Amino acid sequence: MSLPFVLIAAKRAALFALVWLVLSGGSAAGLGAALFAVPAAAVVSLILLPPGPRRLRLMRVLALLPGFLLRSVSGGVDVAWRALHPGLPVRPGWISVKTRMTDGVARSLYGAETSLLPGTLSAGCDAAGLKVHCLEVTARTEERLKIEERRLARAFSQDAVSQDGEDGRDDG
Amino acid sequence: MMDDLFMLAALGVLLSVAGALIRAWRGPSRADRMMSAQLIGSGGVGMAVLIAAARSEPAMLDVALVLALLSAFAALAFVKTVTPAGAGDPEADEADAP
Amino acid sequence: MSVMETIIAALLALGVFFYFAGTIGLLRFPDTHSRLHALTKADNLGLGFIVIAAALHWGDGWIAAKLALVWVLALFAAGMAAQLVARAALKAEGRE
Repeated sequence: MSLPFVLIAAKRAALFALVWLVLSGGSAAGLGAALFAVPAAAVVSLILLPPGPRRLRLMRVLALLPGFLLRSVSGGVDVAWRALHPGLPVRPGWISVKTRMTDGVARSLYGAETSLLPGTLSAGCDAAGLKVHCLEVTARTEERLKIEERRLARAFSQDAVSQDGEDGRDDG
Repeated sequence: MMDDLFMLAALGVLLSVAGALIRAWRGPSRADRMMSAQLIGSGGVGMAVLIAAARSEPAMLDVALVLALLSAFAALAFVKTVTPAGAGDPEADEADAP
Repeated sequence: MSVMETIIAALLALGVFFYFAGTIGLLRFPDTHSRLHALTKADNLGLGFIVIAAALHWGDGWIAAKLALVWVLALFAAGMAAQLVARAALKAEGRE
């Protein structure tokens, strides 16, 4: 058992402990149950989602959060405007975006994130790249997705690049 | 008075959930019907939060949490049933692709 | 009506408005995937406003944290469910 593994396990346990604290409303009444539940949750999470080649940096994710929330608000406003506009300004189309986010967690997060941004909705990857459905395909759509990808990439630790191919999948 | 306002908002959310049933009725695809069910899920979470605030009842927040979790699992279960051979997992799909 | 009450009322109105917009989008948009846009984005924004209104009304730190947890969970679930349903709908259309 290497040191990073222990560190990751401790981090996850701390995260679950925080969730427990919020769920119990800060009361100490269920502390005995927490002593069992928190380590159990950490073990299950390590089995179901073992630490991958790229590590998500919690602090950097938190730093991204405000900007992401703002953009997801503009995503909601955009779709509400289109839905209520009498002329129904929707010209749906598909684009395919090449992405470096090839390993599981990063790609799922990238897909989920783009699905909440204005006008784009990810439908998973195929050989040509990430399939993205757009409410309106404009020249800037792909550019905006690239910017978002670079932003999200910063939330992962940098050593990922050298290990990209390790999960046995082509970069597509 | 504020409590009534929260109940009024819950009524508004309920009405928009009712509207979503039209999509479940019309379809046409199974995914459309599933989306209507998802909207009922997210509307349910909203209503649970509103009722919790109106009644100052923290237990309703646990209802909201469980409902949010369950509607996510409902969507997952749907995807698992419409895609063949235990697929629905994008990574597994990719491994199957030529 | 105090200032705080006015703010809460406005947040509630916004929340209900976005839920309505999501439903209208689900009914009006021309294709399955566009409808998924409406469902994913508008409803979560509506829930966001409602959650903020409830947190202000309650005025309790722990409750606010729990409300934030509800919203983050719903947001995360919506983003993930959207891409999975989008993919399933694509397969059903036989485009892949």
